[in-house]
Amino acid sequence: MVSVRRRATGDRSPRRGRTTDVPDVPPTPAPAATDLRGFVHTAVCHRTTAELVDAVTPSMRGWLSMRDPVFVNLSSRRLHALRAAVGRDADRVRWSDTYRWAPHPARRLRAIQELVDGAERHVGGQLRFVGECAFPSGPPELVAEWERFDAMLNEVFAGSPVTMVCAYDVASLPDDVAESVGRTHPATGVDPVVPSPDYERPQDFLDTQGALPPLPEGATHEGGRVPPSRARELVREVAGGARSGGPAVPAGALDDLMVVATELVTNAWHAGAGRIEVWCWRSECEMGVQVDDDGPGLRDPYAGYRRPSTLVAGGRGLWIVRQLADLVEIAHGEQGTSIRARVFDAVRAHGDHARVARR
Amino acid sequence: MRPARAHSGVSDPTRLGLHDHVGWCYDGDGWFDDVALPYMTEGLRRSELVCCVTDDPSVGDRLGALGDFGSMIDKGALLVASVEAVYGTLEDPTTTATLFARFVERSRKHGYSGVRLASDVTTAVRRMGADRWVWWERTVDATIATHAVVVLCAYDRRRLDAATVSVLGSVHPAVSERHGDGGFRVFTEGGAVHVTGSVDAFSAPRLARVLRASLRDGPLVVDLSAAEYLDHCAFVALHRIAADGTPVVVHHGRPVHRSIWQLLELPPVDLRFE
Repeated sequence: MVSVRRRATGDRSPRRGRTTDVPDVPPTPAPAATDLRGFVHTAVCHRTTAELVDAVTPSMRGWLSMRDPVFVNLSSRRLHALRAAVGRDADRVRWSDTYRWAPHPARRLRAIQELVDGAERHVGGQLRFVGECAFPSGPPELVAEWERFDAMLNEVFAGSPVTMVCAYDVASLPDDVAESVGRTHPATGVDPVVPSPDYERPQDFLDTQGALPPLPEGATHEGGRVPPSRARELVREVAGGARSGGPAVPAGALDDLMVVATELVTNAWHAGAGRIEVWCWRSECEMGVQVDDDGPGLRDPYAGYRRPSTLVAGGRGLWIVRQLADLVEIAHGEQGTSIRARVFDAVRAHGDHARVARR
Repeated sequence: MRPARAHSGVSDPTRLGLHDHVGWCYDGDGWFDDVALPYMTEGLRRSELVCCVTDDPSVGDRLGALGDFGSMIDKGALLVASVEAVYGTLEDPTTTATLFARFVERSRKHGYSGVRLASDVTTAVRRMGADRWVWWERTVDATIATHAVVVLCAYDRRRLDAATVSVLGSVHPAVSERHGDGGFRVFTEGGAVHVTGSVDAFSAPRLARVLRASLRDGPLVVDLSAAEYLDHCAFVALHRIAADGTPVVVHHGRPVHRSIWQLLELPPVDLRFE
């Protein structure tokens, strides 16, 4: 109970004497995900599959009762458990395995955009999405790219009628990944949905890329002001195996890397860079290209993540690079900009995004 | 399967045969002796009707003074004509190409194995402009592909600007070693427009120019079986052609081409991959 002193009208004398008790005004309860419309991005951290299922199933039943489109994208074990828990309405949900459905950050971003656009055009209502990142067991750079994916969701879908519930198995994830969840998600939980005190604006989170790790040993270098045609030749010679006689290149991967190299070098030329250097390498498990230039650099942290406008034919180079390469890293320094793009054999040869080998 | 008519870096003109169409850039005064004469000699050896088109008035006399050539001129197996007489103003390239096809067919009826043409068209390009000439080259290439004729188009690099030299290289299935094609070539074979070589942001405008000169009635069928590289700018050029009303059909596109097309997310047009 909270005591509130009441004064008689016109009485400006200091308060003395009795107080009158007024009933407490309870705090407004935090909403449930079922109640919220517009863009909702919330994380559910769990240690067991049962915890996740218990947290999410009531909301899913609520969404289905409201006839909202529901899409679930989880690892196989959690997928089956949640499907069993949802019960008879499970057939109205679209289920997919996170290691099979667009298991790449930039491609998943695009795929979700297509889902949202489709839902807005054909169904209306609030799209409900329960998913988890396809974290690989491979290099930490790939995991970091999934963290950037989570941050990008806040920018790309701001204002869209979509609820995104992101599941994190904190028992198996590295501590730093679990720690970043609060920074990339505006909220946690589904019932209730509670604002995250650690949330960072996406442009602040994305602007934290440090220097790139050292180039692979034996990377071939071309200096000066490399033209796009020469960059392609370099990729063909080095990554294509003509020079190194290295491991066979998965079908299509060389074509993709040639496009990536050309787009990156072309962007540098268009930006007026005087120095454009290219490195290319082929190792046991990957091939890649890095372009360094002294141009004005990319100041847009979202560059290449957003779907291009249908009204303008230009500005698609970095978008295409992010979609074709398996990993793109960008670093700015005093000397200019470095963009590194890599293609992994495990992904290309086997579609295996879970077990990309460590470098 | 690689198209049969695509050759790059031709150095020996005597190896050219029927259906070949080569762009030969020169920048010295020796091209006639070094290139045209051996080329025409080979044609006479193959029993082809040989035609030399030039604005150099001395060529006829020079050929007449050469024993074999002189007698061939007398017999009518070697013709020498001016650029003006052969190409006129090219007001209607399609009609000109039709007349050319009939000329080839008549030569066959007269017992020749085909027609061999050596043509220095520098003055024609300068007079008519590169755009009209490109349209002519794209028109006559379809005739060369289907008739018993071999054509060598010679250009004096010293009298043409670099952009014109580049686009002329791009409209010949074959180019000489020194010509260069600016990365890609476009030619007709099997009813399709083939693209060979590489097209990126720097050469895509030229590709657009050459493809528009290739438009005829019906859809534009583009064959990419011999294309080494195309990036998104090439597909933007195709999109614009389709957006302007010409359906585009792409044959033998690789998976990366389809990926790029999907990623462009441009407004829908009548362009499909087969």
